[in-house]
Parts: sequence; structure tokens; C-alpha cells
Amino acid sequence: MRKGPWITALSLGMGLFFSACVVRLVGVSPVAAGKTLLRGGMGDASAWSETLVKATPLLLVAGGLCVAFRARYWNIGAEGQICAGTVACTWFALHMPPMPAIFSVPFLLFTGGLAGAGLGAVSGALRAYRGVNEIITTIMMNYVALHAVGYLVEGPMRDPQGYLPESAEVPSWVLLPSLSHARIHAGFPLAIAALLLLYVLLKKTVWGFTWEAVGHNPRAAAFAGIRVRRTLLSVAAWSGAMAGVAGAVEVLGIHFRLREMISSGYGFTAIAVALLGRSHPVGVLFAGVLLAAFQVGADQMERELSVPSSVVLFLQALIVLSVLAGETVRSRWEETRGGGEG
Amino acid sequence: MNDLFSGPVLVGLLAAGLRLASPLLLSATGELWSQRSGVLNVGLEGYLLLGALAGFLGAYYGGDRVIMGLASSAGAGLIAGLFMGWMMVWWGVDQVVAGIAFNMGALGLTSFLYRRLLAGSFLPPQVTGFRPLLWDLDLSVPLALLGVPVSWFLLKRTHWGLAVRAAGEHPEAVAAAGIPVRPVRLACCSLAGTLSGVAGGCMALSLKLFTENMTAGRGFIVLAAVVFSGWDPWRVLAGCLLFGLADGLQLRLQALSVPVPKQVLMMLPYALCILVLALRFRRTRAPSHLAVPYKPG
Repeated sequence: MRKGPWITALSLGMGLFFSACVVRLVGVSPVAAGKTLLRGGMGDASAWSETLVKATPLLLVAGGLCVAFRARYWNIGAEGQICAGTVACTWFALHMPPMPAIFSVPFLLFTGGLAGAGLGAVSGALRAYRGVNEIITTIMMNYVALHAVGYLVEGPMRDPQGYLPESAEVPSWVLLPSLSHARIHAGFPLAIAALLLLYVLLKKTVWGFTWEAVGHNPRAAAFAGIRVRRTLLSVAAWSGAMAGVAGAVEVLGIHFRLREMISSGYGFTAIAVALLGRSHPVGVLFAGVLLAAFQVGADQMERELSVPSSVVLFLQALIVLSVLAGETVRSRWEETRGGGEG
Repeated sequence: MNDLFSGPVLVGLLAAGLRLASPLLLSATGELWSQRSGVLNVGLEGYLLLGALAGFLGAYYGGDRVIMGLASSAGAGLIAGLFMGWMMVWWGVDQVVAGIAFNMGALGLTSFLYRRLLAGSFLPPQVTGFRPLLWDLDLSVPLALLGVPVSWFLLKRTHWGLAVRAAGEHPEAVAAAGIPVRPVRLACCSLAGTLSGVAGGCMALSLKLFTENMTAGRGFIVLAAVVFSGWDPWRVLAGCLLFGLADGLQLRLQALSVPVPKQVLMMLPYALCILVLALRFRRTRAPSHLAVPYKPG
């Protein structure tokens, strides 16, 4: 029997329980809060639409992080890489000649991905060739990228006619098609397709094996002829590229312009999604939609019960920590039983 | 630009650098102990944030007294450090993932509590906080500076320090010598938590207020300073001063309204951090069992 999903479910329960305690502590009924959370995130069609809108960038970014985390390359810089994607995509969208969306949209997604990959590759190269800890550099890159976007929207890329620090609106022929009257757009099926592709890469190609080999034991991987440094660099670039594409999708599907706070924390929530989904595309799909629903529901909770929505961050952390503890207990339990059935 | 290098401005800049460096230094000293014993705290940022909120709330509700703020930030840091130590040292969970998750949780919890408790008013609530001792140096400076020679002496000149260093390099040898490895590591991890908590408290008490995510990546700058210093107390001091000065310079330049966009100036400490790590010429070696859990046989 596979125990992984059970441990995840149990950890989910523990995370919810402790978050309920915190909500109780500030004097709000946890039952009412939980009901509002679920209704806000999954209650009706418009709630689902919002949830899937939020899930879109999460799935894209977390899909990229799966690759990096499998190789035990800790890319914490998705937030900055999303920013890079939004900047590149907006700039090209504002400066390219008119053409049908069938050409322009893929091109703009590509530019976003390229920018994200470039930013990710800097940290990747520093790790691979100079041994610099990527956790530190990717976090620092986040702040550099966030401030860079702040500068661009107040300076060079600001719309001179606008009142807010934002760029001009991108032309209508570059937008991602909308899927209904709500905000949900073609980015969501795109994210699903990306996860599908990732699944194939992981299970059917040598790359998936290479990433895991480098993650499990880089020295053994090197002896087996895997170029470890190049692999690290490539997973850094791939995870950055996915984040960059997510940034481009946000511009072309939701915001239609460059502004600050486009990402509002997707880069960090995606880390929780990838960890909770155990770096597996199917797990990421469920975890991404669930955490997106929590986020949407939490906004509802803040409006109705004035429970600050940041409680969701706390909830995510508790869930991840519980999964981590559960995994450790399981592996130890199997060890003492002399190798269980896994 | 000329007036930047005049005497009083330069002294002011150095003082600001020292003041901004001292919370970093406190936290880095704790993390130095922890890493020397083999425990990597990626969650430093979280300790700092929890300490900042606890320090602010302690001073706010404790009759506007600095000592109440410092005590509660130390308490919060100690609890956080013990919790993470329990997870990482006793359970042996992955230290990197635990730290990442902890940071997220600390950000969520502090924002949640602050918004729920205090953010109703129009103006953000303030405390009196630190009073300047000399120029704008406050209590955090001597506190932090004291830790450096003490740490150096304890780590390099006492049996206790030897046990800590050995726990990070060769835990089996420590166990063979009859010293339990895990309590040593837990103690060092809680020390990192406590000192980082106090450091966060100092940040809040010198700013005199708390804002969401006010540490803004400083926990990672501390990690960078520990790596950059090659795990040596004196060079940790140098590393933290470098980052403090960069931050002070950046703030000064903003105040002088130099013709550089403020966002570019604000990038300065972060960019510097990447740069010094990339240019680290002398190869120093991390404790060989850093972030490797120890299982007593």
C-alpha cells in the first residue's frame, strides 16, 4: 500500500487543526472561519474561477520548482523570476509590430520564460561553478528584481498618461483568450499542459533520471557520467523559465500591463505547492488548486470575519512542516522494521 | 557628492553602519554557533521576524520599556529555536525544507497577529524604543559587539567550544568521548534562535515600530555573512559591518537625494551580498557535517 498520500492527508489535517487553534486564539469561531474559507474558495462557479485563476501561476511555477527540488537545487527566487518574466513580456508586447495572437502570444510567453531563465541561471551558475549557496543568492535576486520593477514602473516604462505607477496597457492582439465571462483565461489549460509535459519528462526521458540522480547523490551521478554542474545550471534555468512564463501569463491574462505586486507572493506559495505535492506533477496539481482555493477563501474570510488572510501562509507552513515530520517518521519506522514495503 | 565625505557625515555614516550591522551581528553570532555544531538555520529570517514582533509587542504592552521588549523577543526566539531544533536535531527532518517552511509560517503568523492586534488604527502604533547612547548608536551595538570576543573565546579556547566544533565536524567522535551530540546541537540551535530573536527585537526597538515583513531578507544576509566569514567570529564581525555600512550608505544617499533612483539604491545591500559571495576568493570549508542529521547508534 502506498502511504505517501495518507501522510500528506494527515499532515493537512494537522495543519488545519493548528491554524484553527490560532484563529480561535484571536476570538473567531474556527468553524465559521473554515466554512467561509471553503465557500469563498470552492463554493460556486465564480469562486472556482477565481481559484483556478490563482492556481494558474502556482501550477506553472511549482512545476518548474519540481525539477529544481528533485535535483535538490533550492530555488527560492521564483518571485524575482516571475518579475523578470513580467518585465520582458510587457516590454516586447508594447514594442512589437501587430500580428495575430497565434504568433504573438507564444512569442511573448517565450520572452518571459527567457528572462526568468536568465535570472535563474545567474544563481545556478554561481552554485554550479563557484559553490555559492543558491538559497541566499535567489532570495537576494528577489529583492533586486522587485526593486527593479519598482524603478521601471516609476521611470522608463511608466505610462506617461497614467496616474498610477504602471506601464501602458498591452495591445489587445496579444492577450490570452478568455474562457468564460469570469476572469479565468487560457493560462490554466496551458499550466495543465505544462504539468503533463513535465510528467512525461520525468517518467519517460533520461532527464528526469538525471535530475533525481544529481539530487540523491551528486558524486555517484558524476561517476555515472552525468555532468553535475551542467545539470544544476539547467534545472536552475528551467525552474526560472517556468516562473518567467507564469509572469508573462499573469500580464497577458489578468493585468494587461506591468505594475508592482503582480506576483503578490506566488513565488513563495509555489514553494509550498511543490513541497506539498512532493515534487510530483500530479501532487502539484492537487496541492496547487488546494492552496489557491485557500488563498481565495482567505480573502473572503478577511472581508467577512476580519480574520487577516495571512493566516493562510501560516497554515501552509504548518502543512509543509507536518508533511516533513510525517515523512521522517515513516522512513524511520521502515528502517526499524528492516525495510518496509514503502 | 562632496558633502558625503566631509568629517561629520562620514562619522554619521560609520555610526549608522554600526547601528544597522549590530542586529545582523547578533543573529550571525548565534548562527555561527549553530552551524559550527552542524545545524543550518535557513529559518533565521523567521526568527528575526518573530523576535521583531515579540519585541515590539513586549515594549508596547509592557509599559513602553525596552527591557520588556528585549526579554519577550529573546523568549520568542528561544521557543522558535527550540522548536526548530527539536524538528531538525531530534527528528532529523531536512533542515533546508524545514527552514523554508518556517520562514513562511513566521511571516504569516507575525502579519496575522500584528494586523489582528494593532493595525486597526490610522497611524501605526509606536513605542519609545532605544534611546541613543552616543551619536545614534543604541544598546544593540554594545550587546552585539560583546558577543564576538565571548564567542571567539568560548569556541576556540574552552572544552565546550571544542565539543561544539567537533559536533559539526565529526559527531561520532563527540559521542565516543561521552558527550551526547544532540543536546549540544539543540543548545546551539536554540542559541541561534534566541540571539536572532533579540536581533529582531533590536530592529523593532530602533525603528520604534513593527511592519509586516520588516526584516526584508536580512536573515539571509546574515546567512551570507556567516558563509562569507568562513565560520570565524572575528570575520563574521567584518562581514556584518560590510553589510551594515552598505545599508547605511544606501539610506544616507537616499536622504541626500542623489540623482540615482531610490530603487537602485535599495538594491545595493542585496546586490553586494551576491557579489561578495561570488567573489569569495579564499576557499573556506563549511563544517563537514553541516545540515547532516545525527542518529545516535
